Amino acid sequence: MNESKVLLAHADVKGIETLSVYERHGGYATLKRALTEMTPADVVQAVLDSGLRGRGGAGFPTGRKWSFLPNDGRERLLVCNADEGEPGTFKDHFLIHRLPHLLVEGMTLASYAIGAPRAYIYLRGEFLQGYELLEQAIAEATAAGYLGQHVCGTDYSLELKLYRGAGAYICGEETALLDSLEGRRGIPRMKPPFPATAGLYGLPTVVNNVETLCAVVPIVEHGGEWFKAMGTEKSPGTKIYSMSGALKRPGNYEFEMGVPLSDLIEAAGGLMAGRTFKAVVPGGASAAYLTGEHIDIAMDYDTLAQAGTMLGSGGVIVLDDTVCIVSFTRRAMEFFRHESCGKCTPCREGTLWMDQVLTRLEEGIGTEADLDLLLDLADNIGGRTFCAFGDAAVAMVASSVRLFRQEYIAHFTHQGCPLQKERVG
Amino acid sequence: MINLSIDGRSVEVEPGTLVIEAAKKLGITIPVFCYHPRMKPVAACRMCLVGIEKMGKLQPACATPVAEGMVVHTQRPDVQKAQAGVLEFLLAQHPLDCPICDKGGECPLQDQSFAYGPGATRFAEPKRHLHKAWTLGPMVVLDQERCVQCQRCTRFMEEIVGDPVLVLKERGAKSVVDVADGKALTSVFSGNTIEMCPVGALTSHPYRFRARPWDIVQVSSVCPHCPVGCNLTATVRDGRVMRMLSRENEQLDQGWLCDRGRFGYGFLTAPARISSPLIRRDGQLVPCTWDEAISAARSGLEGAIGILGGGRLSLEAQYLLARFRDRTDGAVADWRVGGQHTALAPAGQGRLTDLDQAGVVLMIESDPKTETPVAWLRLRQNVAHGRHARVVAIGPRTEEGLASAEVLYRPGEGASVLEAAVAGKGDPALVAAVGSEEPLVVFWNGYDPLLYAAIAKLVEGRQAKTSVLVTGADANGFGAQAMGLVPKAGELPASGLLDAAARGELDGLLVVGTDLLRVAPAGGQAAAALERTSFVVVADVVMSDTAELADVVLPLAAFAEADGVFVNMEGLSQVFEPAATTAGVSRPDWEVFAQLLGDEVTLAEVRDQALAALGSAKATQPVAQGAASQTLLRWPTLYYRGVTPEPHLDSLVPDQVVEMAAKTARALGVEDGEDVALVDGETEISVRVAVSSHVVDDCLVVGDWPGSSRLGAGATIVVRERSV
Repeated sequence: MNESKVLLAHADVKGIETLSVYERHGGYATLKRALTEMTPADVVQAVLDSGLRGRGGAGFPTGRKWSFLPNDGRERLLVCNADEGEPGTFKDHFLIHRLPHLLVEGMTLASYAIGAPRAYIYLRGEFLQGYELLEQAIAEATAAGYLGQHVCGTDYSLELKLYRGAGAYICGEETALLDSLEGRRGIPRMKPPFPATAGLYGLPTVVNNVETLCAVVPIVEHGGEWFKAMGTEKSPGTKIYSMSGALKRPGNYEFEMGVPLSDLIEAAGGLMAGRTFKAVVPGGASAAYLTGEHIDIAMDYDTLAQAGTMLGSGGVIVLDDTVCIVSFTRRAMEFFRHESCGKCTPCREGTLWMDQVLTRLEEGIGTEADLDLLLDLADNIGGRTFCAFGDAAVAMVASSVRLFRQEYIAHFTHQGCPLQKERVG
Repeated sequence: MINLSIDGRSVEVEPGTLVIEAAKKLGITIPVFCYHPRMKPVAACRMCLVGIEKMGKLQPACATPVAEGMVVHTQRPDVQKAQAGVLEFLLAQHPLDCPICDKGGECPLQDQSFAYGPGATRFAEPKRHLHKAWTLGPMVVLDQERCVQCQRCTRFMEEIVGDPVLVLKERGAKSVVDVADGKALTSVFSGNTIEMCPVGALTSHPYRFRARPWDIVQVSSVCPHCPVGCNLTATVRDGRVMRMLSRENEQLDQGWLCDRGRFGYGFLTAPARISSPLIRRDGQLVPCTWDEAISAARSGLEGAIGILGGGRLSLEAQYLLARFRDRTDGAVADWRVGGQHTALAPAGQGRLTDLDQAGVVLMIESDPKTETPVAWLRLRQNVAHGRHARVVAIGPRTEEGLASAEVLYRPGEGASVLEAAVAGKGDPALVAAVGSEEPLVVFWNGYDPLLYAAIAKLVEGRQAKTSVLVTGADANGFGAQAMGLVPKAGELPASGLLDAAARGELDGLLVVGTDLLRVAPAGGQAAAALERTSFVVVADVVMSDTAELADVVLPLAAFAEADGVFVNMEGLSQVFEPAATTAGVSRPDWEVFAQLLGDEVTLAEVRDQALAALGSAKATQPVAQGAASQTLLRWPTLYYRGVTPEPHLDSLVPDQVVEMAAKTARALGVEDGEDVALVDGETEISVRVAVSSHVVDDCLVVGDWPGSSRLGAGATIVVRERSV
C-alpha cells in the first residue's frame, strides 16, 4: 500500500505554516464554504457520515461525541487536546509545526458545528516553537477574519485561546486536562459527569485531539462518504503513523487505516542493514508488544485490539535484535512511574513497585518468581485504577513477560544484559 | 425508589444512593479508606471495588450510584483479589512501624489488612523515604511515609471547612500532603483531620506517643467549652485524660469538634489545678481539710450575699446552688458575670438541626465561628452544599466568613436597627432577611437586653419558622438560667452586685467556677468588689487571680472527673461521665454544694430533681444589666473564652489587637499594625491596631483576653512615641 496524504497533502510545501501559503493551497476555502453554505448540523452530519474516530488514542467516534452535547441553552466549548505526550507519538507535534492553520481551520469548523463561541488549545508545554507558530497562526487567522468576531463575515464568532501545559503526561487525559486548563493540579475527574455535560468550567465541552480536528477539514471539504471510503469499515479514513525506533527513515507517514505493518516499516526505510526485526509497539508506550508473527497485521483499531494490543495514538516503535526488551520495558515503566498522578493506589504504588522490580531485573538480580509477580501486579493494576493510565502503564510490561520470558531469564543467568555483554565482549 | 441486589439480598433505596450506602443498609461492610460519608467521593483508594453485573470492570462502591435491577457482588473472588491487591500496594511502601505508631491497635489499615489483606507481602524492594515528623500546624504532625493519600484531610479542609490549606504536592509516588505555600494549618477545625486519618499519618502534638489503644479506656463526655455541647469520648490512661475524640451526634456535632474542645483538656492536669481546700490564715491561703473549709464557708456566707458565676457547673450543682441561695436570706445569685443577658432564646428556642433547613440566617452581634465553632460549621454545610442559606450579620462588629451582607451600627443600637428592619426600613438585605418567607435561624450572643425584646417581637411577627440560638453563654449557662441562678424581680444583677460589693454593701461573695477579674466587664469593679467584701469564697477547678483573693477556696473536680449534666444552647440535657482521677482531694461540684447546704443527697436524687426543674423552667425576662453603649467593646476570641488556662492551645493564642474601622483609625491618627496602648485610669495595655471592615465607626473592639476586662467603656488609645 502507498501513502495516502490527506492531512499531510501540503505538509512539505515551503512556508505552509504561514497564512498566505496555506490559502494559496486551498486553505480556509472549506471554512468559508461551510460557514456560508452549510448549517452546523450539516457539518456534524458530515463528520458522523465519515465515521471519523478520535485520533488521540481511544478511537471514540467523533461525530457521536459532538452529538452528546445537551441542548439546554448553556454555552458550549471546544478544547483541542494538543498535550501529545505518548512516548513514540509525534504526529500532533508535526501537524502543529507544519500545518498550524489546518488545526485552526479544523477547530473553527468544529466550533461552528457544535455552536461553541470559545475554543481552547491545551498545548504541551515543551512545544515552545509550536506555541509560537500557533500564536502567529491565530493572529493571522484573526486578522484575516477566520477567527474572532464575524468569522468569514457571517454571524458566527469564535474566540480561540492558546494555553500551555506544564509538563504532565496525565494532562493528556481529557478530564485532567480540563482541571489543568482551569488552573488546578491536573488530576483525572470522576466520570460521570462526562465533559459533554460538565466539562471546562462545568460547561458542555468537546475535547478532541489535534489530528481529529485537522481531519475535519478534508471531511467537510470532500464529504463524509469520501472519507469513509478510505481505510477499513470500522476504522475509516487515513491515519498519521509516527514511525520510530530501529528504522532508516523514522518520521510521520499517512496511510489509509488498516495498512499492513510491514508496509509502514518499508515506507520508513526498513530496518538498518544487518538487523532483524524483534518486536513492535504499535500504539505508543501504552500498547502491548507484537512480535514477528504479526509483521503484516492491519494497523487499525479493531485488528490491533483483537491481537491484544492497540493502535492508540499511532506511535509505532520498531525494535530490532540489538534492543534489550528488559531495558526498553524498564525505561517505559520509569516513564509511567514518573508520570502517574498519584491519585489512586494501584497506579501510584504499582508503577513505583514495578519500576523497582524491573530496575533490579535489568541488573540481573531476580528470579522467575519476579516475572510471575510482574504479571500479577499488572493484573492488580489493569482495570483497577481510576483512569485508563493504569491499563496503559502495564500493557507493555505484561506482554514483555509473556513474549520474552527467556530474555528476562537470560538476565538472571548472565547477571546483567546478555546483549550488552555481547557488545562489550 | 430503586431496587437492587447485593450479595444476593434485595434492598430498596432512594435514587442517587451510592452502592456503599445501600450495602450499609443491608449490614454489608465494604472496606474503604478515602470514602467518608460527609464528603464527596473521590474513588481514589480503590479499596471499595465491587463487582457489578453487566459492567466490565470492578467499580468503586463509594462513587457508583445505584440503578434499578443492579446486581452487586462484594465477595466474588475477583473482588477479593482486588482488595488484597490494593492492600498489598498500600503496604508495599508503608513503614512497618506499627509498634511505635499512635494508630497501632485502632488503625483501619491494620484492621483491613487482617480482614482483606494477603497476609504476606511480595514487596522486596527498598522503601520510599519521606518526612517522618512534618508539622502541618500547631496541633497536627504528618508522617508522610504512613500517608495513604486518601485525601480525607485535604478534602475536609476544602469541602467542609472551606479553608483549603491542605494540598497534595508533587506527583505519583512522590505525592505528599502538605500545607499550601505560605499557609499553615491553624484552622480551629484542624484536629478533625487527625481523627479522620485512616492511618497513623496525622497525629496530634499533645497525644503523640502518649498512649496505646490497649493502655486506654474510652469514656463518654460532653465538651465544657461552649454551649453547643459536642459529644466527646475521652481517652483515659491511668486515670488521666490523654485525648478527646468525637462521639458523633448527628443532631449536634455531626462528628466534628473544634480544636478548643478537642485539645481543651490540658487544664485538667495543669499546675494551676487546686488540689486541696484552702483557707486564709494570717493573710496567707493555706491548705486545710474539707470540714474546715466547708464550715468556714458556711458561717461566713451569711446576710447580704452575692453568688456570682455558675454557668460552667453541672446542672445538679446549679440546682443545689439555687437551693443554697433560697435558704440564705439576703442572697442573690447571677451566673451572668460576663455581662450576658440570657442563655435562653427570648422566643423560638432553636435546635442546631434548624440550621440545615434554614433559608436565611441572621447573626445578631454574634460570632458563631468563635463562640460556637461547630454550630458555625453546621451552618457552613448549608451555605456551601445545602440550601445555600443567605447569611446577614449585624452588630458593632460582625463575623468574617459566611455573611453575604453586613450591617454595622453603634453598640446599643441593635434593637432599633432590628425593629426598623421588621418595619421594612433600613438595609435592604436585612429587611429581606427578617421578612423572608423561608425558615430563619437567628444567632444572637445574648447580651444586649434591648435585643431580647426586639428578637422576641421578630419571632412573634414572622409567619415562617424562626429559630433562635444564643451563642454567648457559658457551656451550661442554659442550665444555670433554668435552675434560677439569675436575680429575681427587684434583685440586683451580676453587674449591680459587683457595684454594691465595690461600695462595701455586701457581707460575702461566693464566686463559682469563674475568674471574675478576667471575665467581668467594665474596668476595676470586680477588683474593688473583691477587695471591699469582707468574706469571699471561691469554688473552682483552677487557681485564678480571683481565687488568690479569696478567704476560702473550694476545689472542684473538673468536667471529665465527675458525673453530671450539661444543658446546651438548645436546652438539650446531656450526661457526662467521670473519666479521670480528680486533682488531689477536689470534689464533684454538686457534692460541694450539698455539703455547703448540709443536705444528705445522692447524685441520682439531685439529677432527677434538677431535670424535673429543667422541664418546668420557663423563660422569663431576665433582669437587665447595665445598658450597652460603650465605645470599647469586648468581643470573644477563640482561645481566650472560658476561664481555664489551656496549655495545649497556648501557641494558638492570637496577638492582642484593638480592631477599628479605617475611618476611626484615621481620626485617631493610628495605622494598621501599629503598636499603641489602651489606657483607662491606671490601666495601660499594649495592643496592636488592626483595621477591619467588620467594625462600626468610632468603636474599639478588643478580645476577651486577660486584662481587657480592666478597660472600661471610656478607654482611650494612646499612641506610643514614634521613632523618627
